[in-house]
Amino acid sequence: MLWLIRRVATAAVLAFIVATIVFLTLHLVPGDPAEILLSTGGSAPDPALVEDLRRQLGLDQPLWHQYLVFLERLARLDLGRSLVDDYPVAAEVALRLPRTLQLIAAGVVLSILVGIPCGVLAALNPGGAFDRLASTTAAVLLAVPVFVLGTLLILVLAQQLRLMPAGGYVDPLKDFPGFLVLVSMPAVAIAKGLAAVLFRMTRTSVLDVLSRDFVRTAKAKGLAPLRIAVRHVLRNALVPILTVLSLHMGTLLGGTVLIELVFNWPGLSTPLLRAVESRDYPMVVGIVITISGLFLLINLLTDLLYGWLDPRVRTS
Amino acid sequence: MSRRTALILPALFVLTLVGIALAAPLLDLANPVRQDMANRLAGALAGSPLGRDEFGRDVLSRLIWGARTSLFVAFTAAAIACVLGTTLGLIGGWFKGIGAFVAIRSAEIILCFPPILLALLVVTLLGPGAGTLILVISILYLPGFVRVAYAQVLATRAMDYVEAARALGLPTYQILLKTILPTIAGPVLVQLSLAVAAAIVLESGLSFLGLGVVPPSPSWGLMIRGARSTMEQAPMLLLWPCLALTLTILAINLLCDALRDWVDPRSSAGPKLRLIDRVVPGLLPPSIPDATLEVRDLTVEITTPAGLIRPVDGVSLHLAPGETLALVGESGSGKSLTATAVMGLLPPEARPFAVTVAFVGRDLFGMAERERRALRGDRIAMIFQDPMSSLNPVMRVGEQVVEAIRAHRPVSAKAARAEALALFRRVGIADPEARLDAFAHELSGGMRQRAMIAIALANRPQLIIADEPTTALDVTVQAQIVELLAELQRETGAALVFITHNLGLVAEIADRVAVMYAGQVVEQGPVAEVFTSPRHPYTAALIAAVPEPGRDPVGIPGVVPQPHAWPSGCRFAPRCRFAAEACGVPVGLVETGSRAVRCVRADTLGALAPPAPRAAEREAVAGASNVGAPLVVARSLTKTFHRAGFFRQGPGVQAVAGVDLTVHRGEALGVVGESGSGKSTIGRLLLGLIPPTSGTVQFEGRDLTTLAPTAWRAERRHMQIVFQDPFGSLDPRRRVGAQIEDGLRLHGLCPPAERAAKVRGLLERVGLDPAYASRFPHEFSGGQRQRIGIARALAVEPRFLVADEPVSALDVSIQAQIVELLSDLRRDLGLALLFISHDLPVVRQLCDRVVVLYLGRVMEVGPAATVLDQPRHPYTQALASATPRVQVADRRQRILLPGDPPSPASPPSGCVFRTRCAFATDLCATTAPPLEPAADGRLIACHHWQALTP
Ligand SMILES: Nc1ncnc2c1ncn2[C@@H]1O[C@H](COP(=O)(O)OP(=O)(O)O)[C@@H](O)[C@H]1O
Ligand code: SF4
Ligand code: SF4
Ligand SMILES: [Mg+2]
Repeated sequence: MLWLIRRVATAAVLAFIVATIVFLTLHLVPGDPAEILLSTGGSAPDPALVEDLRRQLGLDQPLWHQYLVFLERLARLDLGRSLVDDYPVAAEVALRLPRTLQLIAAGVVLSILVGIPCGVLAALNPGGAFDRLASTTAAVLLAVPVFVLGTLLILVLAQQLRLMPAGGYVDPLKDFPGFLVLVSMPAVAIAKGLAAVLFRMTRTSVLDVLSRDFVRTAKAKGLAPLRIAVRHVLRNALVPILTVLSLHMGTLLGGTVLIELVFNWPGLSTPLLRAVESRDYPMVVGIVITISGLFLLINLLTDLLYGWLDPRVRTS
Repeated sequence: MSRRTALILPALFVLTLVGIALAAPLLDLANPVRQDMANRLAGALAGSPLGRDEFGRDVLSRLIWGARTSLFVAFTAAAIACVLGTTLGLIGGWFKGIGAFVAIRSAEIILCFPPILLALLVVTLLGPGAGTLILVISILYLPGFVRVAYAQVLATRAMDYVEAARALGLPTYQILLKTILPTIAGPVLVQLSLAVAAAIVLESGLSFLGLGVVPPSPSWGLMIRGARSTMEQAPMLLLWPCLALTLTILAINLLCDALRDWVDPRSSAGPKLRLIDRVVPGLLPPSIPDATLEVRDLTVEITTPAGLIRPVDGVSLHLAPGETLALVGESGSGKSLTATAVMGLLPPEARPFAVTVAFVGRDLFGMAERERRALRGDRIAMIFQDPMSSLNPVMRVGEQVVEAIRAHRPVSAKAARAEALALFRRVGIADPEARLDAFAHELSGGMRQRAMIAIALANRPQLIIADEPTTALDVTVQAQIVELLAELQRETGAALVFITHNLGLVAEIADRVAVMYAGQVVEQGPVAEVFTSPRHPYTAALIAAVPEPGRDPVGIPGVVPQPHAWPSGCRFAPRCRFAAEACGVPVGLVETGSRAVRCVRADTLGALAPPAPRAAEREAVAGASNVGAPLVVARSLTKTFHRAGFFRQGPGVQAVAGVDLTVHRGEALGVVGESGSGKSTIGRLLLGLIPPTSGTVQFEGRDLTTLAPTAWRAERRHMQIVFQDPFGSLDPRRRVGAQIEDGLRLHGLCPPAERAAKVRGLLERVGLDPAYASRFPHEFSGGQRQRIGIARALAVEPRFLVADEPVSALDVSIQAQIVELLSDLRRDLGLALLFISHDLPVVRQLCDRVVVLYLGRVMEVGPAATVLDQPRHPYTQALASATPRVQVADRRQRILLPGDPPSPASPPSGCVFRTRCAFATDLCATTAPPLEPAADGRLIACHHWQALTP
């Protein structure tokens, strides 16, 4: 119980620190932030515009005041307004976050369903035909950047073979089969890295557990091989797999930015990229905080799962 | 693909790529940014073998210049992160402390951001460009390096050989450079290649988004971005940069994997030996009908890189119902393999053959695996050496017992749990209900072994095989477990195979004994007969190596040969003092009555007397007269360990509490006690390797705790340490000679030209071939490494040597050799020795005085002969009686201590021993007994010692 509270508290502190860092980045850059945001290609910006922006971002206030206002707004889930069209950032995020989440969920589920069973299978007969095939595939998948895989999928499946639509989105609540068709290619692209990593870790981890003394004890009890695999090997093997899963989530979340662009998926990526290009600072900050918060939340969940799997974690 | 090619091929690819990228300006390439709209999307042209892109720019040239950009950004950023991160990690790991902790943790905050998002945030502020990319990427991969370096430093600084370097007085920066940097170089290199690959991915991703490298500069990401719009007309335009990017990352990833295997050979699956399980079914019917177990001519074959070996070679054993057979021999003699072969638990690369392996008349090797599984855990059970690793860490121990029951009998979960509870109660687990739901890590070592025994007993087996079940335990706990096993066996009538290298235990528990050497049984017979009149020279030598009262042990020269280097004749011949010409031919096992011996000269030799102890030794030990003035004086020494971390939690562990101790010149002081009693901590405190929480240590009158660092290091040459673990105490990466030389060089003890000769002299002094100086530690056996460790300590000609369980990890035969060496050194060099051990007979033999520790406090101290032969303190008495004796006549009334020592984090009030003391009274619970002098020169900390003295 104490362990649980400690984990949750740690996550809360981390979230707070992340928000603070995001707040500070604007001020860590040498020079006047407003001027920097408005400058393009070396020419000095119009002083009136700079003054305007400064007021709009509250940069004319003392730093501690800005910080408190930032935190207070964040607590109310108010992420400010876009510099470009004055639209509330939170509203934009609320509209698009669910679509990004759908894509992430599809990717994670796919990689777990493929990566872990393949890893177990490969470990049961190391050096066998399946192991070699799967290991090679994993090595190649790890090397292809997400956006390359996405683009190639479109090139081959959509443009050359015309099997799939090149991109787009429908709401799963309205047309679930249509959603599945549209989500399949981006999900594959996004899942590839995690699936490969999970495969490798599962293989290593299962092989490792199989050679441990307690597996020998289980055999000495006369247990059937299947029971040994399920009751003794799998649960122990899952612990390092989980660690890798949570470590790799950051890459996967980052990958969605690229993949949404490649497949025209109307998630958070579009406004984010538009905002980076037009230096719409509040919009970028809002989205970065949202996704980082999501990342922290996922890590907290895996942490809790970790503690459930391995009792030693709970007491340490 | 061999490990070498796996490393070289990708490395060559990456090097070539880097070379081409570097040489780009020198190559005769078209201008990568010159547009030529006339040749838009053109195929191969003269001078443009890969065609032109959507602006008519040359594709090949853009690919090569793009590589230049990508690699420049990736390598620069990764190098910056590597240098900064590694330095930070090194410093943090070495100096620990709050500051380092905060620095390390704050670097890790970066890991809370998905990488690409942090990059986008910075790009928003700084605008795109190569500079921004390098900044972002180096920040992103900094924590990776910090982590790797930090973790490696922490792991390495805990190694004995780093402690040894500190004990020699090596300054911190030299330790970091010499011992730690080489160990972390591998992992850091792996991290570097990881970071480069990740940096290329990130750079190309950002460029693909149009937020990385600024057009028109060529970059692979930008090329893919550009080619997307025209991919229908010109798919090749898309494929070239995709291919280049993927191949590059693949090559770096492969390089990284190969590096990792190279750095840590264990992580690779390696070439797995895939063998057919050829099992020859029993050819003959079992000839001893009522035997519980009959093994005839069991051989185990393993194919290794060094050739086919037979670590078990023609072993025959038999066991009647209710009988206990002990299997003894040095490590490497094939005891465990024999047992696992009988159980059918051999690793897949080992193949067993036998004429007969029969369990109550049923042929074990001939039956189907299903049948065999039905016997395993039901009729035949096994107990293993290390109960911690043998229990599943994530499953409650009760469940593991229940599982064993239900695997063989159709009982309900509830009934099985009730049985498990009864079993736990039977094996003496206190508070069994609660313990059923505990996990292995929540139990003490003795408790875990009891749980293992409960699992083995779950189905009332007819045969129990126990493989060194007490080796990992303290003598006091060992005594409890052995007693329990004997009792249970009497109760259930099971036959027991008890594997051990402890002859004393054999004498206590077994009916018959089989002595194994180099894969063969060399002598077999009833314990009493074999131990009183051994007929094989090896058996006699083993017995002579055990320290017993009134007789000094004699080691067996040499070591057990490796299985691929067994002599063709008698395998013991190279170490046998009776070896003769007749011994050059293979020797068979000859049975006479209840005995069997494998020695051609057995008849001529007759009953063997133990080899005579060397005469010199008696004098040395008896000559306590050369003991001089106080050398090391400790007063009210206390050491409390707190858990590492940001906040101090709880009261901390009191490893040593208020100990007064004096070591005189030339004296050997023994320190005994159960594990966790603070023995090692005292050793390190006396050497000044760790600071005491309170109290003082003086060496020749100088207070070690207040010395300045340089003076402290200069002091190192007077005091040295030898460690327990022969494998961790030498740096695996450096030649033995260089490690011995460190101290000479550091303290300027002899001119550089003479150092090599001095090192050779030292090796000779500890009984090794001087030529070994140029070898690496892995080429030596445990006993030889221990000698090297001693030579390293002796190099600086110390006056004080702490030996922390120097023989505990060694076989008895080797143990005796090392003890002989230490006592010679004492005699010849006038060395003062602090000898830490849990083996009372060895201490009795080697030491002048002895200190008995319990929970960090002195219970009894005085002359070794007095204290150990007539212990007065109840704890000393229990310790002494728990030590197994080979000679039946020496056995005392066994005092079994209940339970385990309490945790040093919360010691009992009053006398700390009272929770396990049979004589405790109310006074003991309230008042800590002072150390009182007795008439015979010892001090005792017990309120009632006088009443207890007979
Ligand atoms: N560096 C350390 N940090 C925390 N606890 C320690 C440390 N070193 C030893 N201890 C604890 O101090 C106690 C005494 O340990 P030690 O001196 O190693 O005993 P012994 O050598 O008799 O086995 C044990 O409970 C041990 O866990
Ligand atoms: S056969 Fe020879 S060498 Fe072997 S043990 Fe007997 S006497 Fe020694
Ligand atoms: S003081 Fe009491 S509890 Fe302690 S050893 Fe003596 S009799 Fe036992
Ligand atoms: Mg110790």
